Amino acid sequence: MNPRLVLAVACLVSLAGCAPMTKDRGFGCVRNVVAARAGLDVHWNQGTPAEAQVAERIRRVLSRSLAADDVVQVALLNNRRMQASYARLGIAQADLVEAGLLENPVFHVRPRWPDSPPTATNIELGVEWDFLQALMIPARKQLAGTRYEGVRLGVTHEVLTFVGQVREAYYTLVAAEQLANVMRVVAEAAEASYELAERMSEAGNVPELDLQNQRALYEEAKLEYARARLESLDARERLNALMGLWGDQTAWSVPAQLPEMPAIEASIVHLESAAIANRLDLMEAGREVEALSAALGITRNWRFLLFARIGIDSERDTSGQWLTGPELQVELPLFNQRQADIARLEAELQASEDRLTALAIEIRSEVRALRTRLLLTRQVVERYQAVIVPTYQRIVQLSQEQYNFMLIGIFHVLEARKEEMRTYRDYVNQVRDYWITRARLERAIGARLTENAGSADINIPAATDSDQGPASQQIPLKPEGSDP
Amino acid sequence: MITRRDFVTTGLAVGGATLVGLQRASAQDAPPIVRPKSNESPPQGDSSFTGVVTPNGASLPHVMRDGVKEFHIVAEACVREFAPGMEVKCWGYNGQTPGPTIECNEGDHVRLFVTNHLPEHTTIHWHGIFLPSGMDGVGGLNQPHIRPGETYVYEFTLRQHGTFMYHPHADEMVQMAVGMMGLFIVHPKHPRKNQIQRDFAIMLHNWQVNPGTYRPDPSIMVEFNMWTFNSRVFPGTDHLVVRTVDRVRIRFGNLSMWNHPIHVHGHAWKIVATDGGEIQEAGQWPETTVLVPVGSTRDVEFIADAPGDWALHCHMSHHTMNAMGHAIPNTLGVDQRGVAEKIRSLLPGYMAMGESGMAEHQDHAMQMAGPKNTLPMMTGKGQFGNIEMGGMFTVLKVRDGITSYEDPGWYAFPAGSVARRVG
Repeated sequence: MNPRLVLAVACLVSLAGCAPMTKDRGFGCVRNVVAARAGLDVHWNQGTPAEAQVAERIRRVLSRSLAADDVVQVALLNNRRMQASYARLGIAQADLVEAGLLENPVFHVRPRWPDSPPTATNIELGVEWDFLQALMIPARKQLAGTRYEGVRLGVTHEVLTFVGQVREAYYTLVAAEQLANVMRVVAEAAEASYELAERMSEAGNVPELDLQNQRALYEEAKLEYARARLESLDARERLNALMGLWGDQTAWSVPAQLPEMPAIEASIVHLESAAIANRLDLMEAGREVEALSAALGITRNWRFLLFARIGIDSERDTSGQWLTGPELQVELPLFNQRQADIARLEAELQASEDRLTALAIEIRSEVRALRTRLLLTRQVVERYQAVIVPTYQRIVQLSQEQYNFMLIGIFHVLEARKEEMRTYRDYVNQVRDYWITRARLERAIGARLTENAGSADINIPAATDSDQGPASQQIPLKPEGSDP
Repeated sequence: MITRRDFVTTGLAVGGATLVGLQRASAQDAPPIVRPKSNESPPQGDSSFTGVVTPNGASLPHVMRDGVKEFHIVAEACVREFAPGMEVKCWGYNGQTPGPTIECNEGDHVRLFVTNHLPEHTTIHWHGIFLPSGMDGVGGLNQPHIRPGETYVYEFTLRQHGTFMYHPHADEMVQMAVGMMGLFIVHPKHPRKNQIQRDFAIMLHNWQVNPGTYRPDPSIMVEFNMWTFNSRVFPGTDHLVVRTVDRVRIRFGNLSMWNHPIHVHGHAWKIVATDGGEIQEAGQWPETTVLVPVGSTRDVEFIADAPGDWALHCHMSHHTMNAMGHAIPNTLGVDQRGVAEKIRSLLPGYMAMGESGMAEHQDHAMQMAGPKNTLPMMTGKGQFGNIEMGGMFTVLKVRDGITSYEDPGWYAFPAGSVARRVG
């Protein structure tokens, strides 16, 4: 082997450096952010011994009456769709590694045999290498890094969105089970009324018309109860799917009642700007703008020189003499000067910037709407607690007093009891809406709501530097004054 | 004998005279307002008649001025206890409903000052009394309305005797529904053939005081829930205490919207007079029940010759009940076993009622909470147990040799004279 050729190849390899694949594919960053934002643990099932610990942990959690955080935790550890989305990290990291790899040099050998003397074989040996790609590696690595970060943000956002969905499903289930119990009481009251009417009919005291009216009310109440039961079963299955449970694992239970609203509402000032600062999908969109901008830069910088190879070439001619010399190939940008690529990237960049702005505006709107809904729902729930439910309870009590003095019949009192329970059902629906709205608002601001803080505390410190991207600076922030 | 025509002529002449008196009287001349307490003794110093006893009520004192008997009646709001546990926001006269009984003698010249302390105008109509048309008290027809704060004076000579009534004839429906009524007794000029020892005056009335409320509802036409003797219900009604062989007169007036057949136990009475005058002896017949029509008075008389405790009540059985529902499901004969437990799980404290009748209710009502200001539908306890009554019910107590008409308590039955269990 020609020693000069060997040296050149060794040189190029050492110059390029290398970006080997990391084992966790950057999942640690996802885990840190989720821990900081949702206070929960995620695990990527990659066939390690840790899996057994995770399975044990899930088993332990499922054995108790599940709180919202328990359910979310199990879902994060166990939902296979989420596991599948973690794999996107591996794909993106592979792209990043690929961007850092030097192009391989090309070796060629060309033996040729003369058809007349001298008949010694002519051999040509050469190595060619596209050096221009090597020069572009830092820029391409940066671009790939931006894209990889985007994916990591996207995956993390997906986790947080998933957390929100699981919370919603949880509150829907607890409410549905609670509502089924409420409707059971209504059905029992209707049943008692009907049975009493039956007894009265047997005693010859009421006409069949009254009896059939009671029967109709009873059947209606039974159907209402059946519908409520069905809804609670549906809600349970949805949660089974979200938590990735099947078989024996599905025998978990939740508390009989929705949790009380926190006595003090979370601070809800500056939520818009908090959302703008926190939302990972917004950061992801910002990374996309950055990436396109970088790609455009590279294309512009290298528009006239995209193909340049150097090489070394040795030839032994038929006389046995070695001829050795360098080789250079350069593309001549006479016709294609990357105008089309540049125009395409410019358009894509413009589109990505518009998407970023649109997303920011949508986030602000969503936050405002959910904040208003949270406050109004709280007011409604408080009204139910302070006045509406006690009013219907009092009506039952007063009706019973009237019954005690033979002023009204027991059917009236049972009807009042049914009305009380139907009002309670409306109340439970409102409490459920409160919690769901709260979960949606947390998803919308990309962080948990806290009871005692303004935007400063909502702004959870990012787990890694890569989370503090320029996204929030790139989008048009409205003046703080627009936040109430 | 005075014919009707003579009477009217005389009345007109007297009426002319009273106009002069009317001009003389002014509000400053009105006697002081007196609000007599219930069961106060009848006015003293006039021994020509046996004073009327108004159970749970009183008579209105008068002042004599220049030979004219003057009364001061005040129309005003008042609170009436129907029985312990129930107070009603009423309108009445001189702090009570019914208003104090006005007692006069035939031939008296009376001057009645009427002061209006109500929030709306009123008048007083002197039901049954023959008087000049301008004194008859129909607002708008016979006189201007007496506006709040005003005092009017009525003045006339009493040319008849008997049991009459007074009540508003202005917004009459409301004012009577909330208790404005009273009895006006005119004793005869000449002593009766049969001297009366006990003379009771009882006004009958009906009310709708919705359970849990305090004020009568004037919009009710038929569905009343309280039935009263002198605006009291049993067991709040005074008992009528008489001595054996007393000649007893009971005067009933009815300003309610139902006729009331008032029944006495152990005796028979005769209707001796209506608000239209005395009934000739030949036209009287013995009865145990007197039907007192709406807007009428009936005077009955009897000799209390049977010692004991005797019920005296309206014979409309629902009129001897306090408030109760009239559209409640009929549970008579309904076996609630099994169902009652289910209802109790939904309504703690539920008690199945009425399977074997409603008598058990009096005891139930003692244990269970009812609406505010509402009396149990049946109540009262006698020496043998629950009396299970309410409304228009009282007891005529006939006793041998008593020296006072204070309530003597339950009758001491002679040995062997009470129905006894033999099976």
